[in-house]
Amino acid sequence: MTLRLVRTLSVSALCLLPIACVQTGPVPVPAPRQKASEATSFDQRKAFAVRLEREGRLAEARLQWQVMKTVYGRNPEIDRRLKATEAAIREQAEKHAAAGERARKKGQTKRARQEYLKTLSLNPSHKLAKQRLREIEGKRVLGSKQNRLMMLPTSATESKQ
Amino acid sequence: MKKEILQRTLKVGLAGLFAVLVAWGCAPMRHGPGGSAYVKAQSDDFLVVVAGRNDTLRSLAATFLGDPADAWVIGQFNDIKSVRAGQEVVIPRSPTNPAAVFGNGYQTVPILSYHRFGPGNQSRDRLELSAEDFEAQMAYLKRAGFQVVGLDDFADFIEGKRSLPRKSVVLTIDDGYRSAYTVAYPILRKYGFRATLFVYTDFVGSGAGLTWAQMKEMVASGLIDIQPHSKSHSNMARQRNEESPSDYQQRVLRELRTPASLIRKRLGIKAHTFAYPYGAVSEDVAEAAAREGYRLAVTVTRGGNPTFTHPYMVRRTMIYGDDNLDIFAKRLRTFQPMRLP
Repeated sequence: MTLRLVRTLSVSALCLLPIACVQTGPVPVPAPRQKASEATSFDQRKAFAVRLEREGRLAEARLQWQVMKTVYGRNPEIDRRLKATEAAIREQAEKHAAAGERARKKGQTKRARQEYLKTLSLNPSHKLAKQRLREIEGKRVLGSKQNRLMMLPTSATESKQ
Repeated sequence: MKKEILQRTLKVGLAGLFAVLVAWGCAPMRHGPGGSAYVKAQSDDFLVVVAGRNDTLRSLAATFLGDPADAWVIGQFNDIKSVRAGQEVVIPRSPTNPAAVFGNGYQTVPILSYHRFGPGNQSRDRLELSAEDFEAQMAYLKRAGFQVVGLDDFADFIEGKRSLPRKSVVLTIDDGYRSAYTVAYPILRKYGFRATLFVYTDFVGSGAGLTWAQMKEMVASGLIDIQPHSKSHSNMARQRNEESPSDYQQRVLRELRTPASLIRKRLGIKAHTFAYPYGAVSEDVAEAAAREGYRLAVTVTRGGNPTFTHPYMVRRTMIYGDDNLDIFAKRLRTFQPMRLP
């Protein structure tokens, strides 16, 4: 009796084992406005990174490929995609930085500022773009109405305290 | 017959229970031993962590970033407000966007500049704010989810060493009026907000001025930082008519050095940020502040500060006694939208 019971239980368990251990159903396709936290499988993460690339959000796409590299280690497809994204970032960032320099030399500060900002949006560590934006910001503060007022003769301006 | 049915029911029941246990054992592990988070993968840039049963963003930040206050880093990167057991989260090990410039604009940090506190609305002095208005503004910051950060954090932000929460704000109080201690400090303590007091040291101990003992007490709370606002509050950006160039240079150096040395001696605090009297700055004065070893110097030119703010021409926005809460809220811009394709 006991032997028969053990045999029945073992057979039942073995039959159910594959069903229990396999995750059923198709891999969910990422929603169009998917968040980073919702992409957890290889396909979801890849779809998310590709979508960021298509939208021109290269810096964010690069981060997603880096996350994938962290999760999946050496993978030829991830390595290739990451390298391609980094190359596109480098190329576009330098193009905008050069346009910024040209505009600056022509005295087109507003245009130069826009180009340096584009550079930083692609490559947040771009030293020249940050330095140039800093110079522009400094000039804006020096030329602000508040600061110019303080350069006037004493009596009119220094009575606040 | 009945006995046979009973035996069969028992067999089926036990088999079902066994199968459930097997399935449970084969399910993917959702958390580490004892329900704690575990690292699924890591690289120089990221940790991929699976949250445990009792984990929160704060506990993950404490374990993996060394500071529970950095919970926002995990929340912001993963675009989540909380974490559930078994959830996979990516934790960046260093700032992922040190410039805080995005495709749709850039982050800015407003630095608010207060002066003194008192009857407020009854006063004709715009630089005086009532205790009620100051409290209402602090309550607004809390309610609206602003994170009050210190000037040291802000310096790290513009140097690209750390990111700041999207809604960050810095609080500063100028001159060293006693009401900073009697009115503002208790309110700041109530909300747990940090603030920097810029004092001009000739004013310390005078009738309406703070005393060193009061400053010491505030510093001990861990919420208040004391930094130089010159020695005598003279306009450093302009040479006086009667002053020779050499006398002017000496005055500028005196205004930069004396308060730094006194604050270090009396409070044991290293000066890192200078507030120009009247917020007035020239290129020469900014260079002098840099040469004297300050990390930052602040003006009162209105506006928020992006990461590419000039470190010796940092913007601050003055808050006036007649500003209502709507105007106050408008001063707190933390993002400058701009299309940057």
